[in-house]
Amino acid sequence: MDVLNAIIQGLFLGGLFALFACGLSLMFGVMEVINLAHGDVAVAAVYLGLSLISVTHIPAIWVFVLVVPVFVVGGYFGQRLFLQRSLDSGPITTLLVTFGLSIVLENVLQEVYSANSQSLDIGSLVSSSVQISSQVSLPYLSMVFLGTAVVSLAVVQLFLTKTATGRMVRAVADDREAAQLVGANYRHLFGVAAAMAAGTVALAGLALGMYTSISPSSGPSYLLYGFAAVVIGGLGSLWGTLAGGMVLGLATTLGSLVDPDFGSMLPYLVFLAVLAVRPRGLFPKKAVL
Amino acid sequence: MSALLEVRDLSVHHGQLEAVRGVTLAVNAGEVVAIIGANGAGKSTLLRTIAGLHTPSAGRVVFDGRDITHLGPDKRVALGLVLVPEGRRLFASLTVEENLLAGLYKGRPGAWDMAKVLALFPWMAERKRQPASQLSGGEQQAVAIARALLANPRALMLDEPSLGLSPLALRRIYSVLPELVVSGLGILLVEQDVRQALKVADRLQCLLEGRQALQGAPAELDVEQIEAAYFGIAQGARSAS
Repeated sequence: MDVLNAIIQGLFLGGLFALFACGLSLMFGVMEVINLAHGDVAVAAVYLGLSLISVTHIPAIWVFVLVVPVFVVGGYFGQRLFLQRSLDSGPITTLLVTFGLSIVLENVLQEVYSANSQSLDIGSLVSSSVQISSQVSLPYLSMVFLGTAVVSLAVVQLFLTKTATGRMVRAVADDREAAQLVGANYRHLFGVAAAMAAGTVALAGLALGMYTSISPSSGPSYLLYGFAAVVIGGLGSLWGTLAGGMVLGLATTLGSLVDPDFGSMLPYLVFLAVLAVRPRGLFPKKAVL
Repeated sequence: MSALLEVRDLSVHHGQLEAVRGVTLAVNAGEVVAIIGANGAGKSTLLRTIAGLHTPSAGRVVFDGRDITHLGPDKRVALGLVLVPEGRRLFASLTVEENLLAGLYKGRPGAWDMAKVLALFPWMAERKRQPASQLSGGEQQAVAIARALLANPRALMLDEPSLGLSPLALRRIYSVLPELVVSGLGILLVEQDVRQALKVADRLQCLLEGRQALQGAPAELDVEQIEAAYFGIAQGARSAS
């Protein structure tokens, strides 16, 4: 039964990894930006949430509604005013800029909030669960997370396939010049993609902040998980990223059954194994997105 | 009356190389102007510059009386100046239908809509859910033209529409041109296939190493003149040999 519980937990955790990683996948798929500050953006969302709670005393669950829109808007303008300039001067510049952003974010958070780890306190919800049988239980929180992850990924997917703007985001990813020739302002569409990336990673960050405790320097370790999920699933494929997240989540919880340390090692062993056998990921895509 | 699309003394550099050197041309509504020339003569560069993908080093592009030399390519589409690029350039991961819908994204309102395009190319309706990458070259070219038409252009530029097509596919593509011209569209066509260009064009321009080597109506030009301008053989040297 421990195994069954671990599998359930692993799938829940995997949904969260996937939500975290989908922004990485989007940024790379649409504008070939490898955002090294992705993890720090998630951490920043947690701290913004913590500040909101300490100032307004609203219930923690409300921070989702307030923080995510801030990051969506911030993502759009961050891309337009900041990342686009570095994109115009070459891919290495962009890598350096996001690396710099990561260091700056980490240090600002440390300066403002100290290096202590904190978590978003959601009261009794964190430990309550539905008892399926005497040995199997489904924690509410994990179910909410998996639900949020699947719904968010579905919304992103629907946006990309059903709306004119979303369609053009995919078109720009395919062929930027041809997209300009049908009237697309690619800078605007890059901004839209960055807004989706920032919104989803803020959502994932807040969820992580409720699940576990976070410190200003946690970003890069989450970034590693995100990269692993993206690469296992196949670069640029959104559903591949969901699968990659699930594989990582399962590896984490099943590995922890053997030994807690093995739980943090197994995902990377799986990652290496996938790279060795299928270097282009489990679900490679011919085209991006 | 001034022309729909005018290019005045346009020069374009690719780094050190001057790909287009002082080209002047005009396209009126309801007229087909063809640009011919060998590989590397600067034909595609000229079209891409008119579409806004390259910035010229000198000269001007005027559309409907408005100087658009420094306007972004996306803004030109909204004005009604649309390029069907060399090699079709469909969005490979989008379906046929999504590729067509992309044409509507920032297009002008006008006579062309999905129903009219599907009437022009009936096979597209059945295959609209297929990825564009699965189409044959001729089908891709048709989708690329349909995508451009959905933007309701006033001037349409076609860059080597015959490239890599079978004779049958080529005939099919060219068979739609007269209908477009009747609708009042100005067409600027780049073509390597000189015979094809002579057949459809009202006026012809030949580029040689970025320069205008020859221009005129097809009826006024003889084959020798065109050959000389196309390959850059001096008339005197030719008759001497």
